[in-house]
Amino acid sequence: MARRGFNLVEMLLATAITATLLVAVMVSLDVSYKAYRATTESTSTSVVGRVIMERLQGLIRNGIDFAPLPGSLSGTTFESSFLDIQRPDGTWVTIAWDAATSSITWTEDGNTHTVLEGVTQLPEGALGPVSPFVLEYHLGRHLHRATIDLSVVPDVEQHLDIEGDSEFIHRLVGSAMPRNAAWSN
Amino acid sequence: MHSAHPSWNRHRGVASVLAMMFIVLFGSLAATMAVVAQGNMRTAHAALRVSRSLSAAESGMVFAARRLQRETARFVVDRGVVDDGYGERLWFGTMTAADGAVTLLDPDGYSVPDPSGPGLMHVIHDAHLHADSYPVVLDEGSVVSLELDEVAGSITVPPIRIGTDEDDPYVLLQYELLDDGRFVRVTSVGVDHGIRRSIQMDFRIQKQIEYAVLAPNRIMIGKNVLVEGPIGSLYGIQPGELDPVNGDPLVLRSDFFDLDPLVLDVQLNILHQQLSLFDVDGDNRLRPDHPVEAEGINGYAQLQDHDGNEYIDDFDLFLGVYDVNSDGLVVYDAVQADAAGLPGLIDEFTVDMQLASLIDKGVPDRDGDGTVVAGGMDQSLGYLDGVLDARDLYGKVHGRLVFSVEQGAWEAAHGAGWQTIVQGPVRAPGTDSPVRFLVEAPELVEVTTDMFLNATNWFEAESMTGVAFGDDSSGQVGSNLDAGGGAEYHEASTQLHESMPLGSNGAYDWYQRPVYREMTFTNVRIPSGTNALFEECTFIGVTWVEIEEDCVDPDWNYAGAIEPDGLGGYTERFPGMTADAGATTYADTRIVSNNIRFHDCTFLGSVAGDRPGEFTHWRNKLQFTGNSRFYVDPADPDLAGQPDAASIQATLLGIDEADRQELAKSSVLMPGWSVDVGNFDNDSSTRVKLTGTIVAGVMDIRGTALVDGTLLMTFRPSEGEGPLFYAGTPDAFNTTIGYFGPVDGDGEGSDPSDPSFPGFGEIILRYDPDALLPDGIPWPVSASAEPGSYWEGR
Repeated sequence: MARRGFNLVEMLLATAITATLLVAVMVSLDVSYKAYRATTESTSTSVVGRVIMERLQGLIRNGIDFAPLPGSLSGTTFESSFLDIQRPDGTWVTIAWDAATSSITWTEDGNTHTVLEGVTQLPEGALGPVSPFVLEYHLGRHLHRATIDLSVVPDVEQHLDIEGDSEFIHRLVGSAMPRNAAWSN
Repeated sequence: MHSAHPSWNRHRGVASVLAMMFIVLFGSLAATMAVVAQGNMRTAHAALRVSRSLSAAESGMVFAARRLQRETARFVVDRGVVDDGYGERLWFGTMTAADGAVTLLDPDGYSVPDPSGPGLMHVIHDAHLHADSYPVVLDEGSVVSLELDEVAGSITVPPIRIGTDEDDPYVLLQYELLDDGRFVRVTSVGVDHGIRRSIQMDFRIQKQIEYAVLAPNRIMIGKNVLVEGPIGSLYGIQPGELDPVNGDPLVLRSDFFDLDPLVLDVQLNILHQQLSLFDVDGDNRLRPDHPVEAEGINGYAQLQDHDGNEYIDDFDLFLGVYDVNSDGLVVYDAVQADAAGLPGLIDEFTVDMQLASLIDKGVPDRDGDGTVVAGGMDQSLGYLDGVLDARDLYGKVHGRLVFSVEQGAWEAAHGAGWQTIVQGPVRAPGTDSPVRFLVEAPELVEVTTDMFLNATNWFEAESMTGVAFGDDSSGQVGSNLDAGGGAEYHEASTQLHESMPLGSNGAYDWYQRPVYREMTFTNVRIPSGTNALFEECTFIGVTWVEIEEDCVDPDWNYAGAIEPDGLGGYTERFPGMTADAGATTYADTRIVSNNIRFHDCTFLGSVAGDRPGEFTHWRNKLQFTGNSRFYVDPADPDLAGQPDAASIQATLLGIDEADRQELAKSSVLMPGWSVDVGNFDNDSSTRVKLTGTIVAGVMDIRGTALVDGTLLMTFRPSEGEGPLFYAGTPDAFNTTIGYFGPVDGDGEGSDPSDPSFPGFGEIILRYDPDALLPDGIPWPVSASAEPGSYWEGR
């Protein structure tokens, strides 16, 4: 007798196996995709952060005047949430950390735009909270060195149970000395 | 092979489709992930290369700056100011006779068998050619060779690898003279795997003597003297100079001695002893957190950091004794403090108000903005605020100490550490080392009187524009007498003899001087043999003192010297002694020399003179006594306190501005002379103010004074030569600034315990980096970075 097809048991069994495999594959695919997205966003954030840091350090290296000045004239090093930089052409740029929007903004000629999002502060603890700008002055008004310390959370849903639900924070730290001061010594 | 059952083929087809779908799906995802990840990696790699290429460019700039500075310093020039035209001529090597002498020193550490030319651009080119070796590095596949464009004035340097690996970045350099011939632009391009970053900076060619004091004789800086600038000592390198009887290259006396002999003096002695044993960097300060220097503090409870600046020095001990309420401030003028925004304070220190004022107004430009504003930020940073504290940045020396002598040889001769006699904190700027030994040219150059013999300068030419000095019936003297007023002239024969030095118990000669009183001279040349006393006179423009320059006869100093005979008269000290100048023999050399005393005189300009062939401290000497005043700037804030300020300002404004700028280059230009300067009344309100490069053989400054420029001494005393031909030791001829008392071995110093003691005085030596030099001082030019010209390209 010629066999015309699968019987019901076979069909149910095949369907169950296929469904199980598909669910497993889809879960695996979803986890992989999320991990990929997280990794990509993390890497992207790191790269973008590095580019932004390089740009900010370039601004500091080339800057000829800076603000804010120390609140106490006898103090030389203090923390700030913003940094004003005067470029050699006389124009001023303000780089600020906006806590409300967790972003670094760039203000020039009255126009403000965001250059980096997801910038937060390290939580209270051994290291935190850390201000984004640490300014070291000499003789009351001459910037000797500026250190930028940014904690950036990549902008992506990253709660992966398989990774223990940990938050992934990039800490970008850079320091620059205005060449005006460096070559004056 | 074919399937046995026809339906099986259909089943396998379905599975294949599913399998291919999964392959395409997962493959696409994998490929996308790989592409994105690769893109991120490339972006990260590019960012790394940008960073590496920028770092390479910065390394190149540092290298070029070093090369430019070393080679520029080989040019020793007479001309004082490097302006647009002279800078261009130096660069291209087209100097003219009008530019004065230009001497090119030998290269350091390499030789140039075939110099490409006499200019600075040639020298830099030759240095790259002969001092450096360049493994061939292709720039983007092309060969770049060392090129000198003598028309455009530019130098192109082949690629220099930053590292030894083939993958390391390299740098390309280019030098070019700008339209303003004072500036050389250096462009440095760093390259890392095709990523290029360029930076650019300008360097200024200029002539600067970067010292507050520079002397080949021993330098003695006493109490109540602050030095704001480097000190250079060339003493101690000639045979015998380090013998203990000949003194030390440098003596710095702590400002805080003689205030409290029972407590503070004892503590200072302990500190100085510990400094000589434990101060590792030579800044005369001990750091409590330093593993070695902290050992110097152990066991001495009085050695504490009272001002909180993380150093322990003389000032901390002063605070420890006089800061009664331990608030970190020593109040010396509560009224002034109140006015400065520090109300409710009570005076704590009244022992030496001149010292307090000196410290409070030291380093006046506290915020470094180039101006000093009363009541502004400078005062907020402690300037003249009536209190002494950490904000006053106290330092005996704000600059480095530079010695020709070797440290060990000096200490062996002295029998103790050099810091037992060089006292007071030394605050070197930036990363400068506080002290350096065995320093040679071009950083430390000895300028001798001989170098001035053939030099021409503006001062001499200007002095010739005036009317002759004259006598009681002619010239400027005659005009003064004719004009009436208070002008007086008294012949020498009517005057009492005056000991030399003035008031000394052991005088080595006596002068019977003509007296010129209350006269005004303008661009005057005082003839040889005048040997006058000028009292309350005003000198406008250049005052040139003439002498016989051929005074090398060892008896020049002594021929004609006299001494009291004990019977009310005077007799020859060395009977029969004569001295020759060429074919002429003199029984009394004073008739062709000049030993002049200016008392209570005002100089609205400069004093300069002929160049003696040998230092003759008796015969060719200037003494400025009483209330000596030097002004050249009509806007000088010190003028405000003068009763005749309006008259002085009007006179100064009557001098052509260009001439005033020349006059400001040097208040005293007397190479090879012995010069004593000082307001011996110790009146702080009428301090002597000298500007520019002050040149003398040896110099003595006492009382209250401000030297805004450089003290440049030219006389190196040697046993058996010049004034030491017959006897004596080199320690007799030194550069002495400020108070030294009997306890320091200064027999002429007044005793603080004497009721008539006039005070310790108040002297600031302040190096002025912007000062323009007069012509005629042979000194290397330099190339200094113009920090504001730093530019970062793409």
